[in-house]
Amino acid sequence: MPVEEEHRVVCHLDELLAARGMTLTALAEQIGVTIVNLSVLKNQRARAIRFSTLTALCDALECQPGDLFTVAG
Amino acid sequence: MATPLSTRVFGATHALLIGFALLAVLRALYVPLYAWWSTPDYLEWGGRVDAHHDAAQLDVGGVGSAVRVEFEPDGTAFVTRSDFTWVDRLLAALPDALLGLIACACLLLLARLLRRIAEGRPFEGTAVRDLRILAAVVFLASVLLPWLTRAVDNRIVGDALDAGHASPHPSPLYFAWVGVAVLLFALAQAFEHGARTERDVAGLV
Repeated sequence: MPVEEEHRVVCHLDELLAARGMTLTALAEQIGVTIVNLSVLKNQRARAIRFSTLTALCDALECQPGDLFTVAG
Repeated sequence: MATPLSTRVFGATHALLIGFALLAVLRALYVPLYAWWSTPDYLEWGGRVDAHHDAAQLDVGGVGSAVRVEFEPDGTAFVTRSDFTWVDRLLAALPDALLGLIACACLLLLARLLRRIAEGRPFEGTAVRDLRILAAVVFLASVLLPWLTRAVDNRIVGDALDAGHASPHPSPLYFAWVGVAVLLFALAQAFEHGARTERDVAGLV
């Protein structure tokens, strides 16, 4: 099992979805990313994100990267 | 979704390699046992020698001796001994048995690697380590087997061939096997990079 690299990036996807009344499934369909990957992101298990995915998320959620990710602590 | 042809081919090859590994072990056991059973009263050796002889027959120690040597013009010789011990029997079988066991180990490692590839996870787990072990085993075999064969031949028939002013022709280093070992080491390095890349993209969305 590979050693997980430590990071303090927190993803606020679930909060943004709730604020916009959008489901994960709808978001996945809209931006063309699988629900599995969005779930990985939502549950803080992602280790990296493509810029193309980040752009699509920000467009769909009408937000900026800083709204989606913050660094804790 | 139908299983891709390449996956089925790899899966079938995996099963085939397991079968060959079993055969290699059985052969390693069968050959000496058969020799022991089929020629209980004498020990036979045949091989190339390093002194050219016309066709000749020698009874080492005189007529009716327990050791007979037959030389052929093509540089081969056949030794038949009836004064052997069970240790001589075991030694005579050793190179073949060792080759069978080495072949079995290599085939099993290769089968495991192919199964991982068939399952779509080629770089997972012990793939890199398995390749390095496979390379090391092949390299060691390329050095050990010729040396062992020479040592056993000298022990079993050295004295007999001496009487005909000959000695067992030394087995050359298995250069092709050394080449295979080098290729396997290179493949292990490539797999290590693959494993590292796979770790880097794990969790990438």
